Amino acid sequence: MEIRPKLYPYPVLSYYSDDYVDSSFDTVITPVRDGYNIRIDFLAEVNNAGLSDLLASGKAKIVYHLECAQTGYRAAVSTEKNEFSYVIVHKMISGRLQVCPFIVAETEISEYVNLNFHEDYRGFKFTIEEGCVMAVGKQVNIDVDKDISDLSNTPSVFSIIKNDDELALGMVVEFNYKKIVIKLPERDFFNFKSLKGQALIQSVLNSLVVIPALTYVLEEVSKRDPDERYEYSSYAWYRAVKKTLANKFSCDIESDKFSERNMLETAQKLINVPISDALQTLSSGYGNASEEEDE
Amino acid sequence: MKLTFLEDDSLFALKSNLHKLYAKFASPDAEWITEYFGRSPFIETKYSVDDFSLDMSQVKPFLTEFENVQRVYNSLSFLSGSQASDERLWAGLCINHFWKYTQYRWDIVSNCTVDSVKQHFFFGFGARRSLTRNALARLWWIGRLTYDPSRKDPYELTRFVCENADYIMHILERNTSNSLMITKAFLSALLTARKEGCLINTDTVGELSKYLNLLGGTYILDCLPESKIYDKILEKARSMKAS
Repeated sequence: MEIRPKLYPYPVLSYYSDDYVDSSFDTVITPVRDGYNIRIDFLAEVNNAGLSDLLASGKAKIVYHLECAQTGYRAAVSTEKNEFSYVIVHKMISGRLQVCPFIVAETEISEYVNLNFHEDYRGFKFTIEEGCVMAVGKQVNIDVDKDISDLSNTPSVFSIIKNDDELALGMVVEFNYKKIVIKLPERDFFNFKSLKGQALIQSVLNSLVVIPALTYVLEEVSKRDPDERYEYSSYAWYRAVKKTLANKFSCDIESDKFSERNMLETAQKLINVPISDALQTLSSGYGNASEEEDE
Repeated sequence: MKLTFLEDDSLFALKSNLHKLYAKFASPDAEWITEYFGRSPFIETKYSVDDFSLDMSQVKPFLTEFENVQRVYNSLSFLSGSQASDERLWAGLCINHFWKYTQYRWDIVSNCTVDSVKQHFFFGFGARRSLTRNALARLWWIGRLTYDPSRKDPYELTRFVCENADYIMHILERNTSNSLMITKAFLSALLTARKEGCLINTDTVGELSKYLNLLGGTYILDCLPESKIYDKILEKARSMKAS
C-alpha cells in the first residue's frame, strides 16, 4: 500500500489536507533487530480531542498497515495505545516493507462532527462506516536487509560474469539486478577468474574492475532525482551502499548532498581505497614471484 | 528430490546474456547450461521433497493449470513467502527439474524469444508480477493465494481462478490478493453470484476487481470482516446483472 494524497467524501485528518485545523496525527516508526526477526516500535501522537475520544472509547483504532510486495506479506495491526510494538518473523519479508499509519473507524459512527473541522465543514454531520479511514499518517518504508539469506549466503554486492557478446570490448556494468553485474569479455573473464582466488591480488582486481564499475553506478544513481532514488531499494547492492554511506560517511544517498560528492573518491573509500595495496603488490614483484612458483 | 536453486552469478550470467543465449532455451534439455558454465550452476538447499511431475497431457497447456497448482503446492507448501519470492529458486526449478514443463506450458519451442524466456524461466517483471509469470512460481503462488483449508474442498477457490488466465491476472496480480481473507471474500462472492445466475466472465471479473480496488481507497479492507467485503462484492455483482 502506498499513501497518496486523495480526497474522501468526508473530512480526514492528514498531513496533506486542511480538512481539520489545529490538529495532527504523527507517528514515529522504528525498526529494531530482534534476533533474526524484526520488531517495529510504533509511537503515535494524536493532537485532536475528538479523535482521541473516539480512540479512548474504542470507536476508532490506530491501524498500521504492513505490506511487503515482494513476499506477499500483508497485515493490519491495530491498537488503541500510543506506544506499541510488533514482531515480524524474518521469513515473511524480504526487501521493502511499507508501513502506513491510519486511524480507522472500528464501528459505524453516525452524526460525526469534530470541533476542529475546517470551516467549510462546519455545521455538517457525517456517517463514518466501519473500516473507513479517519486520519492518515506518513508512510514509512523499511528496507529489510538480512544477515542470513533464506537459501544461501550472498556475501558480495558484485557479480562478475562473462559477456557472451563477441564484439564487446572492455567491461559492461549493469545494475538492474540484486547485485551490480560486471560483464567481462570471455578472455578477460577467464583471466579474472584464474586470479580471483589469490588473496594477494584482490586489491589489484578491485582497483582494475570494481572501482570503475562502482564509480559508474554511483554516478548513474546521482543523476536521478533524490526523491526517485528509493526506486533502487529493491536491489540489495543499493541497500548495502546506502547503509555504508550512512553509517561510515554520514551521507544520505537520497539527498542532494550525495549528488555533490566526487563519485570516484566515494567509490574508492567504499572499497577501502585499494589502489595503494595494489601498487605495492605490483611494485614488490608479484608477477616475478608467481613465475618463480611456477618453476 | 533435493530442492536446488540457481547460484547468483549463474543467474545473472544467463539473464544478462539472454540476447545471445535465448535460442538454446528451445533445446530438448538443459545439458548445455552445465557445459556453458563448465560445472553445475545449481546449489542444494536443505530441503528434500518427494519426486513429483507435472501434467503435460492437454493440447491447450492452460487446461493443466489447476492440476499442476495442486501438485506444486502440495509438494512445496512449506516454503515461506520470502523463499518463494526468490528468483534463484524458481529459475533453478524451471531449468533443473521442469525444463520440459516450462517449454510446454509457455510454448517456448515455437515462440522462443528473449522476452518469453525471461518471463517464464526467470523473473521478467517487477517483484509482484514476476511471481505469476514464471512457470513454476506461478503454480505455487496461485496455490498460496487461493488454498483455503477451512473449505470442504480446500482447492475450491483455486479451481475457480484456474478457469481463465485473465482471472489470475485480475485477481491475483493485485496487492489485495496478499490477504487471504480479502481474496476469500471476493472469490466466494463471485461463486455465489454465479450460482444466482449472474454472468461471471473476464469482463465482469475485471469490473468487480476494479470495484474491490475502489473500496480499498475508502476502507482499510483488512479491518473489515470478511462477510462485509463478501456482501459488498455480491451486491455489486447483482447490480451489474440488473443493469
